[in-house]
Amino acid sequence: MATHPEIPEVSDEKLVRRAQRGNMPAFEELVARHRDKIYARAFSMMRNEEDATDLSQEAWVKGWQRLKQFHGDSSFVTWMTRIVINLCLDQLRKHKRQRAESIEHLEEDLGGVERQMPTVTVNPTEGLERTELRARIDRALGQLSYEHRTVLILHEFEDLEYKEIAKRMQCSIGTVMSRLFYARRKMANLMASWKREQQS
Amino acid sequence: MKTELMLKLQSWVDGELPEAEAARMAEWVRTDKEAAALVDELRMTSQYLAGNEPQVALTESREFY
Repeated sequence: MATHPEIPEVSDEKLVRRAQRGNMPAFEELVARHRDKIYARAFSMMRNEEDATDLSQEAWVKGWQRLKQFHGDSSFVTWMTRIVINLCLDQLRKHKRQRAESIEHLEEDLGGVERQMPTVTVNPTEGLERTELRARIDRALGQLSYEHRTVLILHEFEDLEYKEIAKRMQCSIGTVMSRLFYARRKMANLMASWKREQQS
Repeated sequence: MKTELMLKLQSWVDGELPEAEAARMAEWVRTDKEAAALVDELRMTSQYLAGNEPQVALTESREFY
């Protein structure tokens, strides 16, 4: 993909309008601007570089194919993020069908290990540099099941309401609530345990 | 605390409860230490997650696309 030095000053909105008229360099510039964010969202959900690369690439192909359906109701990057999230959800559903239930799922179904977790009262991120904080959040996300990780990402990073998450994950609002609760409590306790390790 | 109540507290924190129920929750949290502690933890977790999504850069070259 070529670099287009004359384009960087142009807004996303103008680039989208040009791309909608079939201007490929304009679309290439949009890809260059936002590809890391789209990839990062795919990686957060999939926890796998190969899947994240494939799915983010597929998202850009779909974005190009469906560009005429984009009417600017949200920003272009928000629209692209939703496309990659949907692709990741489809892929994760396929994975789920292929694998056996994990011990974590069994524990969750048996009655809420999150209720036995102690309440975290001291902020476990106090004094952390942003890079280290992000690294710990990443590590914690990696320890959640995909259902818990996905609901947390959709709620905390995408700011989606319960109803919208339920629709996207094809589950009930009650399931969203319990998964989100578990995910937050697990996140809080992991972060607190790493803080204690650091202090000891 | 029952799971159902914990989930209601979370819904309150997330602004997902109707107004009347939200007011009842607020009153409960004011008077119940356990509920208040859980609310604090849920809020704290959301606060440090906000704006701190892990940053991962694509290592493939632009030509990849």
